[in-house]
Amino acid sequence: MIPVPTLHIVAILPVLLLAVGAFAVLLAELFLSSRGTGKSGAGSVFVGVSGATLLVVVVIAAQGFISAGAPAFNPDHPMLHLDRFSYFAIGLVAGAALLSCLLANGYLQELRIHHGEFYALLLLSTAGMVLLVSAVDFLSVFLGIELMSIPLYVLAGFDRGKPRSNESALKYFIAGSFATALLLYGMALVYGATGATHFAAIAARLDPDDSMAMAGVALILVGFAFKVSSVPFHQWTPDVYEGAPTAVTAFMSVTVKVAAFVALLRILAQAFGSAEALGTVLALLAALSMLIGNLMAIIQDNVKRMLAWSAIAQAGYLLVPLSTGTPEGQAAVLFYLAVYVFGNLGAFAVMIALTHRGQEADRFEDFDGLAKFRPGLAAAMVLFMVSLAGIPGTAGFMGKLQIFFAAIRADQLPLAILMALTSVVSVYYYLRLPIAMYMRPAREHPHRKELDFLEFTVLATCAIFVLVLGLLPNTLDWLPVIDWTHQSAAALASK
Amino acid sequence: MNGANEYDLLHWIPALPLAAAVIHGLCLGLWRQPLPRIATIALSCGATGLAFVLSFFALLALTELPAGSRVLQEGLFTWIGAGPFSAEVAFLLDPLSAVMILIVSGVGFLIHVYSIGYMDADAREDKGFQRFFAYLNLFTFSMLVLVLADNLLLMFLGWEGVGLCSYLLIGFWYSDEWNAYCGSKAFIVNRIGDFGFLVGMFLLFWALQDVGSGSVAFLELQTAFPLIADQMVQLPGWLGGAQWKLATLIGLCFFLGAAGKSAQLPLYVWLPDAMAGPTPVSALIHAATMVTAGVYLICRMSFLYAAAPGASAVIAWVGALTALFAAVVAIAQTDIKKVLAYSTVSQLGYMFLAAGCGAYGAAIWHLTTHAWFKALLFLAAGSVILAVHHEQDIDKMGGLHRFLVWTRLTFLAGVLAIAGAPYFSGFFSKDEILLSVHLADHVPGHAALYWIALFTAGLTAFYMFRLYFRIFFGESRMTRDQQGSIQESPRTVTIPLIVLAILAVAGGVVFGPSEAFIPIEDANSFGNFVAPVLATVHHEVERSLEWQLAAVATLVAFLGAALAYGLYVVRPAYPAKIRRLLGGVFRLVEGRFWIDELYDRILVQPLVKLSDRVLYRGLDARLLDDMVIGGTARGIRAAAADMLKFAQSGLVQGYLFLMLVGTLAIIGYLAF
Repeated sequence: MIPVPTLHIVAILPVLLLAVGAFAVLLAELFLSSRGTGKSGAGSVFVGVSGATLLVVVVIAAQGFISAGAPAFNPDHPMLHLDRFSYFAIGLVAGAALLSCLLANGYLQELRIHHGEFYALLLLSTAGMVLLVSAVDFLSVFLGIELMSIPLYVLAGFDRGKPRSNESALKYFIAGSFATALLLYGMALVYGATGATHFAAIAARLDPDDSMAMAGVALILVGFAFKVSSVPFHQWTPDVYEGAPTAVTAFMSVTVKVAAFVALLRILAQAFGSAEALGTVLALLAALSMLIGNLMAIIQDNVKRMLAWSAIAQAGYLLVPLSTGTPEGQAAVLFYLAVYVFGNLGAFAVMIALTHRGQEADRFEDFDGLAKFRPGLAAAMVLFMVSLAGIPGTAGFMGKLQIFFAAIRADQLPLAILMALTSVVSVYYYLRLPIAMYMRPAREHPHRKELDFLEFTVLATCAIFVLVLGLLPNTLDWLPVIDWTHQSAAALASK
Repeated sequence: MNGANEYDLLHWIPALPLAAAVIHGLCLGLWRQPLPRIATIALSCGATGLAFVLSFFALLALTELPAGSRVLQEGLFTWIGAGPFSAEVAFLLDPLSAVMILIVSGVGFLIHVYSIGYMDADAREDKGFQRFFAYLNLFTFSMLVLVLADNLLLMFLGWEGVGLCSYLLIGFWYSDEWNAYCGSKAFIVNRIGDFGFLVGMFLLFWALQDVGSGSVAFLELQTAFPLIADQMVQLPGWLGGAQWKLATLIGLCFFLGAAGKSAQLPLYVWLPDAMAGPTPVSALIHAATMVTAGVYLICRMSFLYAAAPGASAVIAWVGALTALFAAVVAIAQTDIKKVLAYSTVSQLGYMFLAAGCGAYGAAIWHLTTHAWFKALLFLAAGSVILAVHHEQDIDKMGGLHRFLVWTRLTFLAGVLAIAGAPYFSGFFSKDEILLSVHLADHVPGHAALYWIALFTAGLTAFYMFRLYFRIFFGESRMTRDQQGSIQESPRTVTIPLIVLAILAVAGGVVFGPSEAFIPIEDANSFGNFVAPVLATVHHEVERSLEWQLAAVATLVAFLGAALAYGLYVVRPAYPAKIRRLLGGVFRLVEGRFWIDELYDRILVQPLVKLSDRVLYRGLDARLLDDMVIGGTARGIRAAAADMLKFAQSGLVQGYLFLMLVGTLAIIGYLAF
């Protein structure tokens, strides 16, 4: 007789909700367009449904974090593991997706591409990320990574009328398929060597001297290095960031980074713990990413490309604590991811707020003298740039400090020094926007659009978090972010 | 905290003005809409008034304790805790700070009320009115933090805060560039002093850390200080290499800070220019409270100065010379506020003289009476200025006693108090200083100091009566039109004047007469109240000596006043003759010994040139901006020009190729 497994729906509740939300948006699109309702009315339905879904997911994540995890969906064959670590990541991913989805409404209308599919794809991609961050089996990892990526390929080309957007989608798709193929091949090799896809089983059987297994490990690493845009798997990043609609860039630049880094953290800790040589490879990737990302960012003329190279450099910073493998390093990764989400999303939010009548504000000249016309926006942009550069008083500084200490405690002094030096270089390009906004004479300004309420909410949220994480990262009783990251890292080790 | 008494209302005293300032700031900054006039007034005056009431209750709570152990404390939170170093945000109320908070909130409250009338024009025109009160509240907060701080670091926070507010308020009418310049000048000169404060604090902390104390709290400093009181330090070679007593060195550093804040030689130059601010500001900040912070600092650290006779002697001499110098300059000034400014510098010199002679109680007592009568004089001068439509030149006034009855009477009260007329408030405090200087045989040259102080007292009487006669008596030197429109100031102006005048006249008798003059049981109550906190040098005093000195001082002051009467009322033609007779000497005094010009020539101009030509154009623009930063970017751009094509070619084939290479490299490293 086949035993009936006990299933715990709560474990897949976020994914279910996101999927249901996505279909609800699609259905709504169908009915609203057939009735010929005005686009803005439809827009509020889309934003409402997807925003509410994401908000519920954030709440579920918070609840899950407080109750220190949930049982696996099928405890006999656990594919997902919902511990504090997963819930922290789910909360972060869903929160970032929520902010991106609030940003999209006004932006898509300005670009006249306001279709419900955008939100459906965004929700589906988020569902993939949720799967990815809680996966403890390579099968679910692959499922998650594909569910995350495929909607993103479509989203990158969402502005169908623009060749750049199409080019971006195609490039992302080709390079992404290549990386996924390598990843899948790596999983196959690891399975061949260990006979398992579950992390715990792999950890028990992985032999660091077995070439086939290690080749598999290498390929899996490459697959993730592509997703986090680490050098030398980074080259798609500037093209895709520049070509994709800014709302999509904002969404994927933060959420994919969170999801991929979190999954990589878990894989390294729970499956590949015995492969110590990985630390060296990661350190090397970190060094290359920090160097090349920061140097290339200097010479960009387009703000989105600059932010793309900055994303590569930031991936380098994140790889530094990852390479240490210590719980402190893992906590530092989580904290810096939170820092990065708000700083980067905030910067894109400012660009989105300046988008007007299909005209994006993505050249440095577009920001000349902005402080005079839009003092609030300019001040917010300064805050986000200063945070990305890691200047004291902002989240970026606190994040880099955590990474720095983690690296030093793990005897990674050269990396720590390289990080400090390249951060200094980064100040040069991050401050180009503030200089343009405050010190250049104003141009003829087409950007006269009023800030809508949703954009204001996103900007204010990002600004508050950048300040709170920078000034009181562990002071507020109800927001002890550093404690949370340490609790999450502890959950990672307990498995 | 040392088992001292907790008093948890203490933080409300600075918190109330802060809250008012924050609300003003939010209205102006976020809402961008000034509050209605009446709301602004209620908020600001209410906050300061309540702070005064609370200060009074705190004083009552303090007096209930036995005389030797009058200390109330309240710790809020640990501000900085770094290794052995820790600084709390905590407040300390002892008799010394109790006196200060009463002056700050009390005189502050009166000046808030006065400002309602004085700043009326700004209320009608723009939102400057509320901005003014926001700054005033912020100042009150900072000053209260300064005097209530339980440790040096928190005190420094207040110290910097009052400096900032002073800067903001001097340049309050910033559309006039001169005002903005004066504000900057005050701020920059104060920086020199602040440097001394910081170095002193670091030295003290460094020395105390060696003996195992990591606190900068006053009470703990006081306990730990004797351990290092006799330490010597070897100065580095370029400073002479001599052996110095550590206490002296620290004392001099703190005095540099005090001299900057309290406008002593050679850092006094900012105070006369600070008169560019609105008159209530001059009264509050540049007469009654902020400029006395230096005196407060010295008295607060009196345990240190008692062990540093060298530093004390320097303070006494600098104080005496400042008093004399400023009094001489005041004689020849014609701007009503400049005269009062130099007079303030001179009176502050008196306070330092007393502190330097070890008579800290006398210094604080004079600080208190000075707060009354100098605030009064400034406010009365403001009332005059208001009446004559912002004319400040006394050569263009005269004969005003017919129009400004209340102003004139209160002004006279202030003049009599500062001149030291018997039984006015200034009489008691000034005589106490003269007495302590006369007795201070531990200070080198104390006899000379006494004569300087006495002579200055005569000068003070002279220039104050000169000011009084020139404004209110003689022929009017205004046009008929101007005369016609003169009227007494509104009641919000005159009532504070009357309150202050009562204090200036009777405050001395009520609060702390020497028992030599009023033989009652509770005499000298002020001195007895503050004495336990201060390391005063005690002398046996004979009553007859006290009488003799007072008689001499009164005589000298009377001579000064009589001379002014003779020159400016009886024989108004004489001053011009004397001026001609003195020629160059007079112009030297009138031009304030050209100290400002001297500083400008030898310090300011070379520095400006250095920073403009060398640092800005050479170092910053050419070297850093152009060569280092621009060069790096250009270099990378040039070097990467070829690489760039490859790195950003946009061709997916190239991307995939690089990925493949990377993958193979990683596999090669990991697998083989």
